[in-house]
Amino acid sequence: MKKIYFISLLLALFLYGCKSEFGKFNDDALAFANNDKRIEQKEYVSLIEQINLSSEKGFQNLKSEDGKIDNNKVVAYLLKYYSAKKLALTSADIWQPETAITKADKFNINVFLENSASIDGYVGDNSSFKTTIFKLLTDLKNFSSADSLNLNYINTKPIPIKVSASRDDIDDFYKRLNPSDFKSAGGMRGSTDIEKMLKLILDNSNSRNLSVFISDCVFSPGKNDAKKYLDGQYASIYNDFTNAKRTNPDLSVIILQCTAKFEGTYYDYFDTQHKNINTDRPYYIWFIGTSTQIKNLVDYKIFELIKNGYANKLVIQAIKDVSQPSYKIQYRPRIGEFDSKSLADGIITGASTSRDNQSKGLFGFNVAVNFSSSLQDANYFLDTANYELSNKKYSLKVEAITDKNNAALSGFTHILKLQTSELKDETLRIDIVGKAPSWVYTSTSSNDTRIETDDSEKQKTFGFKYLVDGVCDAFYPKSNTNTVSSISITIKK
Amino acid sequence: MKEFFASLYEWFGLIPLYSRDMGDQLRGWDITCTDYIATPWYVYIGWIMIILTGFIYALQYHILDSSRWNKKRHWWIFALLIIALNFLIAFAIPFNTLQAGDFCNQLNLTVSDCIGFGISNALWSFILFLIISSIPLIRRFSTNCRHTTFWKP
Repeated sequence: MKKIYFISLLLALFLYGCKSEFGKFNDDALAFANNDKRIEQKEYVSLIEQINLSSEKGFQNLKSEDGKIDNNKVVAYLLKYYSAKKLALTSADIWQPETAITKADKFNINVFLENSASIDGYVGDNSSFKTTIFKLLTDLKNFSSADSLNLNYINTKPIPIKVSASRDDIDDFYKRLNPSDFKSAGGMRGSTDIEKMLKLILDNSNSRNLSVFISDCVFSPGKNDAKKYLDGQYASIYNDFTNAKRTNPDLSVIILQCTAKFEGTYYDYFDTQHKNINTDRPYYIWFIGTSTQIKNLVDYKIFELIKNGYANKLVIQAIKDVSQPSYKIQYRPRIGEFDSKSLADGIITGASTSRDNQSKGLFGFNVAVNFSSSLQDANYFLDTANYELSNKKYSLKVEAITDKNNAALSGFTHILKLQTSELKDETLRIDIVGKAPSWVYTSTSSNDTRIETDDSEKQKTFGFKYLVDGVCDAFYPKSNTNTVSSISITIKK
Repeated sequence: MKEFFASLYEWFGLIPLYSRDMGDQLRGWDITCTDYIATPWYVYIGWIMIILTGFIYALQYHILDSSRWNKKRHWWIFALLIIALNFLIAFAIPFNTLQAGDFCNQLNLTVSDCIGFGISNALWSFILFLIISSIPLIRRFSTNCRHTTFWKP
């Protein structure tokens, strides 16, 4: 065996000169990284020169459509390659040329905290709600795109508390998060008209003003017919957002569902008091602004900074263009057979069904997709209800990619597993559609009168789906296809 | 050129001596499992096979060109040398890759694939040697081996 190794080594040395330019690029990249587990400026520039000098196919993938070197693609490839070579480098370890940062127009951030009586239970002495809000306000104050941070309470009307808040003002606002200060701030605290609050907030949201709305979002029909009341609220919210979209076509909304300890009186949909409720309850933080403002917030990683995190996130955006996320048809696993010659172009050729006894007659393949550039929550892409396939004969399963060391999956966030028993020549379109995600419906209560005894009710919000449906239907009318992202795969037998 | 050599080594899809995965590896399927952007070994090994076979042919017929090396058995000795060297080259390259784990982790490559490719390369080198040593037009430039072929003298 040793002889074989020796001869193999000699031959490998002999044939070293046969490597392609792309192979030499890989070798150099590996040598640079092995040196000090970093790619210094000089080394990076040397790699870029190699890309510049060669027209080999491998290098084309590192260039943009106009033939210029795309540093993002270079870094992404290097990370994938190092991952395959079991080298733990991150993008921070690779020197990258500084990209010119265009200074985004600053905008005001107007925070509206609901101060209805239903919120009192969240602002107890040791409330995580208070610390989350305090941390959020501090992060918003530090946000470089923020012009001024204005703090308000809101019930039937906005109640300004601090205009252009300083750090001391935020501290003071935090200390005043208690029922007595809520009460002294005024307004109609006895009932919650969410539609009216949202309308006021929408009127205050434009390219110069981003709104942050914090509320438990529990509707208060009072003695009215609850169903009629909720239908009315849905219609009004739908109308408000449709009008807001007309004046601000770039309107975007992000809703975070957070959880905090609730200690106090809960008002059910009859406004009946349930005293001494002590449980974790959901509340919601809404960000309403233009897509640019929202994108800036996402880039600032504001949602990751939220203390205690969030349970669910929903992004609602006007559909301007159908985005095409990057994807890669996986070589394996597969059911049946296909040629790999055009896989990189999204084309499966020579497809045939399986002859194995276990999967006879089936054809299947996996597609790795990168949804990281989407503002939408990663969990949204796990729900197959949010997908539309052009061929209904295909079944779809979606999984999140958790293996960060797999070079074949590096740079991708989700795996789509497709399978059919009726293989034919076609272009299979996989559309991701905009709609209210399933968590909205599981978080909705239609009767919260048994909150003391029913544990599941404690985690729900009365009428929440009417609220979200009103917003979603304004952005994604049911009469439209509402395709947000799309992937096309050509399959040839 | 890549597909030309690929179809030769894969015997036009009729009698594959190694797996489809090995075929993709030799076409240059890269370590990140993205595209055929790695070294296209089919092309390199194909050309090495042609050059090496041509050189050994030239060695017997035109460089040595000796009356002591012009018998049928000598033809077979050189043929075996060509077969052995070409087998080793085609075996060693994917075998080294396999040992180093320097390939897409979704490919199922085995030592028998390396052996299969080695045999395929060896067979084609033998066929090439057979053909070029059978063409009288090329052989006639040799003084002592102009009549040497695999069946005579």
